[in-house]
Amino acid sequence: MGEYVLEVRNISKSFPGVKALDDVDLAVKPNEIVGLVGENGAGKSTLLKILIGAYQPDEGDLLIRGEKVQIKSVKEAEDHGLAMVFQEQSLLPNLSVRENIFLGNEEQFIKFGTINWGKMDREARRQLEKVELDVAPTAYTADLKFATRQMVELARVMSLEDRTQHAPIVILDEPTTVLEKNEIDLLFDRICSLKDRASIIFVSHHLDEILELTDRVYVFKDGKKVADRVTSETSESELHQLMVGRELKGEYYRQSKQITPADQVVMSIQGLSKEGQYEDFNLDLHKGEIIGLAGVLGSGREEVCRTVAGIIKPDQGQILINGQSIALGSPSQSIQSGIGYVPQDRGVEGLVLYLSIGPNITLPDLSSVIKRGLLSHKAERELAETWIDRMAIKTPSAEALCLNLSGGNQQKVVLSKWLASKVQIFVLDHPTRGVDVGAKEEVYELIRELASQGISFLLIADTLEETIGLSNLILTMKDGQVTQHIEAPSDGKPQPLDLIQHMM
Amino acid sequence: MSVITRLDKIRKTTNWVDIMPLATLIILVIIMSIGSPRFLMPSNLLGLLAQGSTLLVMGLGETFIILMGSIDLSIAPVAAMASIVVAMLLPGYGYLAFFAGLLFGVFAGALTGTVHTKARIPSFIASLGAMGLWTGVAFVITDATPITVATENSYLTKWVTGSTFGVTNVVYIAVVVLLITYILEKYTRFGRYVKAIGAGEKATKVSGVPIDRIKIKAFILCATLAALSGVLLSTKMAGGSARMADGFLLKAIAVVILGGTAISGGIGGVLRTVVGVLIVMVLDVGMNMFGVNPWFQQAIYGGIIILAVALTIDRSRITIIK
Repeated sequence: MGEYVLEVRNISKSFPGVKALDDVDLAVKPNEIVGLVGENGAGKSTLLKILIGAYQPDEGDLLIRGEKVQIKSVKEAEDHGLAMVFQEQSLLPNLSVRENIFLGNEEQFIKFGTINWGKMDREARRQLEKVELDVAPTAYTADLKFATRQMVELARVMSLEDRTQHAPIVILDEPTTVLEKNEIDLLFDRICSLKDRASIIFVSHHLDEILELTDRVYVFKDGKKVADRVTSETSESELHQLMVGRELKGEYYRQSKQITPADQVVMSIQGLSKEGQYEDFNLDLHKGEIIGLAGVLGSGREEVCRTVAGIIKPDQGQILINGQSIALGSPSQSIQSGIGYVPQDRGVEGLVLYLSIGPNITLPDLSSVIKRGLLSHKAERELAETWIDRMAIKTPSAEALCLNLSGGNQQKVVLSKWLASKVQIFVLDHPTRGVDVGAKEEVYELIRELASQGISFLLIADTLEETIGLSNLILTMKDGQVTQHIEAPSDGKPQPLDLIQHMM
Repeated sequence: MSVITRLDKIRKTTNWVDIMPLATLIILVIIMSIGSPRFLMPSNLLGLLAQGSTLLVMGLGETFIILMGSIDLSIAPVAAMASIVVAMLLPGYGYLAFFAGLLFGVFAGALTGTVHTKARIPSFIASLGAMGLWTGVAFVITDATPITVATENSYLTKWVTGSTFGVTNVVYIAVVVLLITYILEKYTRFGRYVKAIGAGEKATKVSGVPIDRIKIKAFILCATLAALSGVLLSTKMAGGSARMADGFLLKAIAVVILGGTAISGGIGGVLRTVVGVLIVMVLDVGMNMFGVNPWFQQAIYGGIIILAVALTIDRSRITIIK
């Protein structure tokens, strides 16, 4: 066995019209945590898919523990001890933890054609101990929290250790995206302790996480490996520069453009309650103000946002828009009151991916393109082109389906849709999720610009830093209740710790 | 990278799916005209059009439902019921009988649509139930015996069975329905929302579109057009019967899918259904010409539906087939 457990040598992969990976190298030593960073489209996911056998490379070799291998399926990858913890989890919610851990590998428990549940229980417990997770093997996966399910998935991957008699090579694809701060800490803690018995490839958008966790880091850009660094010898700004080819500005969240909101209250939420989700939620949103909601999963902040958007109907309370009480529990009512919702799940709730940009923009309000009672396709296309121009949306053509746009450009279409409907209040639920670094800054810039035009925001940000950086005022939430109001003026931003103490 | 791959893939499959129905039609016509020189004679083609008109009217309604990503399985018995309503009322009420037939369609569609949306039951099951309901009702009220319209009333059906400029009126009726549905699909909110629901219901809902209302409207449109085809059949057959539209469900779905409207919703339209109807009509003639057992023709349409879906379905959208 050589120095490396996994080697990727000169791998190239082309898809019609594009070279997704161009002569890429990557190597992982035993018990090493290797970071992989790059913007969307840099080739990270193509490489991961090659590693787990979902794609076959056009050129180049894969070596596992010094031996050349061909991986044609996830199963074959697992037989080599190589497995991935997926960003959008792969556990089956209707099965128990133990069944999920050994799904597809039940042979060892089968006697006379039936499963020996006791043995499976014991074995499952052993795998769960590896990740120090205290959960019953018989618990239904659907009843577990996201972060817990992720740990179960990690335990499933660690079970390869016994199957293959080798330390597993674990790929973690953006594992922190939907985790809260304390859950991330816990995950990192587990990853560090697993380091003794596994090698890890860690993919993340968050450079700070890469710096904290990894031993070495690879930077991909446009299908090429542009650099590999020993983590202790690099910095966030260097990595950022390598990834996007430009330097990270000190003014990431555009704080200098933060305005002091007007006195005028545009939205007043009074005594809003929904059983089991949030209780007695009150808020005054001023013209041009950005209010950030901070809280862990289960704090109720998502539900508050979805209530304002009209998707959840509250049990009690009211929402006043410019002093007028509005009907709750109907998206069209909220939209008519000037509220635009930018949902977390952009591809499902934000956009109709199988429609082009124009029809997406006009979906909430077709009236502007209806001429003499009939829908004018010409007017719609012109409207689309106007917004493509104004928002600098990168698209092959105005007719392209939104499916074919990158995350950042899709988000711009969502924002255009609401701006075209002339909303005055934005509810932003993780607006920069799955958006690459360069496009994030464009979104921040846009939010500032809109705020200065008098548009107000209710924001759930991707990270605490983002919450603090963008907001005028932060409401911390815990178990459905607002715990603290924290002012965040541009010259006196609070520290993450100031927030966390009210969130836990 | 992967985005462009997907783009290329979609562009490819879309082009293919776009061209396929028309290419199939042309190939079939060529085969037919070689097989029988009589096939391309105007009188034969006009006869074909007249035959296809009823099916087109029914298929146009179903197009909206499939475009929305739903299905309506109740169209054949709804058509049969409409024919019965017409046959029963024509002697006493004259032209009003036709309106009553259509009104029945409005009611049947509203019922299916409301059950589907308000009780949150899949359209497949809601319309399957409706199919059972109307089949049963049709047999009971006719006592399983066709109702014939006396010949002295045949002047009342001339608006369908008569000819203008040498073309049977039913063809003009179908063309008018096509025009109306084309405008509905392309140039109205309703058409846009139907397509948006089919392409992405959740995002459409979050954009404030009243999903339930649009769905109920679509089911009303579909059942009303099914009823209209039942009305047309009743004039042609000079009567009404519970078995009036037997075999139409399979064909109506076949024309939508053969035309290239995706069973998964969001892609397609009424013009494609026209191509689908033409394909089915040519196939009908062809099968008769080659002496295919009429009973076995259903089996062939069953096979064709599966084949057409297999060739056109975008499997990247539907990862798991249930």
